This record gives sequence, C-alpha cells and structure tokens, in this order.
Amino acid sequence: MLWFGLHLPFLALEVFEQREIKDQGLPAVVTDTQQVFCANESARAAGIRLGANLATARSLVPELTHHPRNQEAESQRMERLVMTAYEFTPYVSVADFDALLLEMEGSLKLFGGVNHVRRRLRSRFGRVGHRIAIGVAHTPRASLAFAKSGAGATWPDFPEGSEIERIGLQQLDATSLDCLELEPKVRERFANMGMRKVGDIVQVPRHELRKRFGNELTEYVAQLTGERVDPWEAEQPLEVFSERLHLIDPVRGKDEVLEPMEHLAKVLSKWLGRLNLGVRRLRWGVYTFEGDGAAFEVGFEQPRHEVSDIMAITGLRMETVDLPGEAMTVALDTLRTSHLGLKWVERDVLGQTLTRATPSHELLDRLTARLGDTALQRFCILDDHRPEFAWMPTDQADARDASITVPELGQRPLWLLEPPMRVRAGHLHIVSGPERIQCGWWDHEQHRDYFVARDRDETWCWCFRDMKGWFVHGYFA
Amino acid sequence: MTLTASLLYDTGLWRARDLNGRQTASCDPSQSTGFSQLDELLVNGGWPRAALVEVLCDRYGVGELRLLASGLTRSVRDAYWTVLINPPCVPYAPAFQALGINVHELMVVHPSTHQEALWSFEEVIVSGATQTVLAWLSENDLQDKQLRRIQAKSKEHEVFSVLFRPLSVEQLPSAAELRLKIERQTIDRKLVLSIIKRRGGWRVADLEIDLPWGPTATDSQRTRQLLADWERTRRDMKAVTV
Repeated sequence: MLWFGLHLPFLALEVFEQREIKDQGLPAVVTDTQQVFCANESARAAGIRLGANLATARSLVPELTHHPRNQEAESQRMERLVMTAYEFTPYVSVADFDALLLEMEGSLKLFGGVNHVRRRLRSRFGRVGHRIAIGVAHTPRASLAFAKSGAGATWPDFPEGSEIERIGLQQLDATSLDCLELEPKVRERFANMGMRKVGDIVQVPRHELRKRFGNELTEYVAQLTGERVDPWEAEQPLEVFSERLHLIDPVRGKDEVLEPMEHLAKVLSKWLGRLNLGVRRLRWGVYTFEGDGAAFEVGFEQPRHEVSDIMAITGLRMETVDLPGEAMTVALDTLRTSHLGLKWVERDVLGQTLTRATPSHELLDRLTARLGDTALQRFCILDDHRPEFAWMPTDQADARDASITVPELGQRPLWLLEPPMRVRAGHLHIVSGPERIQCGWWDHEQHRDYFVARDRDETWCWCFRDMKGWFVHGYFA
Repeated sequence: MTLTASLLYDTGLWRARDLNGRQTASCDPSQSTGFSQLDELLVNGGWPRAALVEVLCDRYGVGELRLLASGLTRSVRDAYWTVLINPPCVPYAPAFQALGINVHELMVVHPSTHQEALWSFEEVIVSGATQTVLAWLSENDLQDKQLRRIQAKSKEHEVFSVLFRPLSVEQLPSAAELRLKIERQTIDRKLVLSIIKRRGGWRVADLEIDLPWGPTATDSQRTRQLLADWERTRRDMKAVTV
C-alpha cells in the first residue's frame, strides 16, 4: 500500500475565493469564535498566529480582512475535492476536515510514478484554487503526518513493497511530534521527557508506552508505523448529480438562459466523464427569485456525456416549455445515469470520442424532446392468438423474440382498428371465413368468428361476429 | 458500372429513348415495385430511390400498403426506422412483421399539430436513420412550398417518402416526383391505378396490377351458406326460448 496524504492548510480561507486578496497578497484570516483559525501567508508574516484573538490580530494589521468560518462550505468543498481526487484513484477517504487520503499503489504506473503524481495532484488542486501539502508513506496516518510536517522524502518513482516501508519508517523517525494528532497535554509531556521526534517514541517499548500514555496512543503509534492495520473507508462517489447555479443578474428569455444551462451541462459532462457514466434522463429547472418557475425532463435513448449532445436535445425540449420571464436560478439534476461500457468512450488520437450516439437513437431523442413522451409509439409482438394481445406498445428496443410465430403473409390486416368498430351486418359482403379465435379464459376471454368482408366502399375488412354483434377490426391495406 | 451508366443512375438524367418506360441499363433490380407492369412505366424500372411519392386514395384497405410493399421492405444503408407519421389506424405489428419489417424498427409518430407533423417529417428524413417514411398530413394546412421542401429533402437525404392524400387533390399541382391514384380494388384482387405524374412519361390511366397476396374471395358461396344456416338456427333457438 502506498498512501498519499493531502493536507489543505488554507481550505478555510480558500472557500471564500477572494481572488483579489490572493493576487495582491493582502492579509486575510478566518476566525472561529473570535479567534484566528486560518491565516494566509501575509497575515502570518505580519505576526498573526493561529489561535490569536481577533482584536490582537487587528491591532497588528488594521486593514485585515476577516471572515467567520463557514464549515458548511468547507464540507461541501471537500465533497467536490473527493471527486477531483477520484481522477487519480478509486480509494479516496476524507481523513479530516482539511485532509484527504489517497491509496495510489494501483495507479502509479498510469500516472508515471510517485513524483509525477505529486506534481499532477498539486497542479490539479491548484487549478480548482487549493494549495495542498502532500505526504507519501506506507501507512495512512504517517502520510498525513508527513503532509502536515511539509518535509518530503525523496521517493523513487516506482517503489517496491519493502522499500515503501523502509523509506516511510526512516522519514517517520525524523518527523517532529508536532505533526502528529496528539493532544497538547500529551505533546507537552513528551517534550518534558525530551522526546521531540517520532523516532523517540517508536523506540520506547510498547508496554511502557501503554502504562504511561494509555491504550489510545499506543494504538495510534502502532498504526503510524504499520504494526497494526488501519482501515479507512473509501468514499463512494455520488451517482446523482445535482447542481444549482444562482445568477447575479437575472436572465430573460430562452436565448439568455441557454448560457448558464450550457455551463451546468459542462460541469455535468466533466462529472460524468470522471465516473465513466452517461446520463439517460435529467431534469432542468429554471426558477425566479421567488422560487417559482419551470422544471422539465429530457430523456436520452443512449447514455450521453457530451455537452453538445445534451444541449442539442435540451434545446429542442425547451421549445415547448414555458419559462419564467426572469430567471435567477438554473438547476440540473440527473434522474437516471448508466455506466458507459468501454465502447462508448473509445477515443481517437485527437481525444475525440469515437462512438457517438447512433442516428437512430438520436432521432428518437429529438422527436421525444420536441413532441413529448407520448407522441412516439414503438411496438413489440407477443405470442397470443387474440389480435388485441398479439402486440404491445413498448419503449424498449430489444431484439425480436424469434420463437414467436408471425401470421402468414396476407392472413392478417396491416391496419387494425382499436377498439373494433361496430357495424351492421348488412353493410358487409362476406368473401371468406370463418376463422374462429377463442382464447384467453384467464383474462379477457374472446369467442370470435373472423371473416374477410368487403364493405360498401369496396374496402377489404377484417371483421368478426361475437355475442354482441358484428365488428370491423381491421383493413387489409 | 460504366460512366454513362453511373451518370444515368446517380444524376437523375435519362435518355430520351427511354421515355415511356423501356428499362435502361441503369435499372436497379432492388428498386422494383414488384409489379412488372408498373416497373415498365417508371424511370429506373421501379420506385424512385430518393423522392416524395404521393398516393391518392380516399379509403383505407384498398391495397395501398401492399402496393408499396417492396418499397417498404428494402433496406438501404444502415438506415433503421420505418416511420409512420399520423397514420389513420394502428399498424398491426404481427402483420408488419410478416411483411418483412422488423416491428422493433417500426415507429409511429403522433404529432398534435400540422406544424409538428411537418417538423417531424423533415426531422425523420434528415436524420439518416430512416429508409422509409409514410405520412398522412392535414390536407387543409398543407401548402405547395411544404411539399416542395419535403421532396427536396427526400432527394438530398435519399429517403423514400410517401404521402397519402385524398383523391380530391388530383387536379392540384404537386412537387412529388411520382403521383399514383388508386382507383379501386376488384373482387379478384386486382388493383386499378392511374399514374398522374411520373418522370419521363405522361399520365397513364387505368393500369391493372395483380396484388400478389392478401385475402381472397374463396368459397364465398359456402361461407354465405354457413352464415345463413347460423342465422336460421339462432332464430329457431330464440323462438324456442320465447
């Protein structure tokens, strides 16, 4: 196992996304109950320490920007960052409010080795606005400790199992106790005993450690060194996408609302790509400031993940939707997604998806989007003698069941009247028959004698006589 | 295929000497209508590959689909759907399957307005997923330029489009490449047709073709006898119960 611990020291600040402050390096802090919880570099350089009083901090830097901590935003951001981390490995855990754990041994080859992964992680998280410190180790807790210490050991690109442990332990010995998850009191006791490095503790016999510091710490040290396994539950990716875009200026009309919709579709497309999913059905919502508005669903015959495909069908659907005059919020939720087989995501040399939706499915999607779900009818045939039950409307395009015998050519009419039309016997001129169809005592019992007849318009009809009288059931077109 | 042949096949040119029907070298057997009398009268010896065809008839069940059967069942490219737009009745799936159309590839569109019908007609033609479209449009709203557009799109995207119209429009001009009028079907399963408009020839009246399959008037004498007997029995039964 090779663990990457990711520590986001500035997460509390970064959720506020103040570009101007980042750019100009203005001092900024996040406070929790009037104490500095997180400070950026220029604030620290000005002498502001974590845990300091806000008043003290302001006396040091009068122009200080400060925000109260927003834990909800932080945990939401972490959820998104888990998705980002999924790009690297399927084993991602949230270790702390500001730390992630990634198990990378399986994906090292794909990303070109430890050092490449570190670089790529840094730039990937940098792109979404987060600075990270990375620790690499043989155990999850050690990797987190390394991430917090900021000291990186030199790693070969593809370390072997025993090598991982050796380098990990070596680095652990030299790591300061400040980086461990210890209570301040315990840390102080260690300091009083002259123990400052992890190596100092590891050498102490375990039963001595247990006697003095209790079970919990001994367990922690064992997990740190890898003597004891330390299971972490991997986060399961959400298979439901739900995003809302709150606009600053209202959009008016269909053309304007398309822009934020396309933005959401892009986010969705990225999300789908990450999970190798395609969307089968989604719901758009366009709402006013008061919260009323329109919601409509769009269906796809095949799972789709390209922005252009999604927007093309959505555009058609929108033609029949009444949107509110002024929209402030655009929402997008997936209702049904399915995994894309490999065949959908083959890419050519230019990175374009090779297999796009086939025209036959695209036609279905377009017609359904514009005309509505009920405007299209497809059929399948069933094994039943009764004409009403020998076919059925369906939306599943499966292959035909070859075991069903179809009637001989010309024996049955091409047009069927649903329901059969009552006629007077005198209008029909019987030309052949009868054929008795008597079946279905278990549900809709039928006793009918079918005849071929010509009516007064010289039309060839398929008609039957039952207890109620004469009916025309179809036309031989 | 020689250059001349391909020119004749692809471009829609025809030789003057082929006027009125003689089959040319460019004739494609897969196009055949299945009726030799009709093939002889049509350019390329069969249904046009890509065009709008009008079929004029006032009733259903006179053999209108049997007339088109060979055009419905041929398979072109990787086209998939056979589409019926606004049909007058329910297509009886087992019978369509027997005809050779896979029912899973049969799609019926029920547009709610004329505009929607036209839109779906065009959408279906240009989709590249359809080989045949049969449509029944609202005659009151249908305009000449709409027909022209459908004809042009069918040509461009190589789709065999069929539009069913009432007999009353016979005298009106139309952009359709081929216009057929079904006069009647006789008791011995013959279809009497008129060609109102065709490429490379004049109007043909009262062409009689044999429908290859369908119900026949077999033993109608015996059937009628049977029915008469039943009626009598029923009356007798009624009399007894009364």
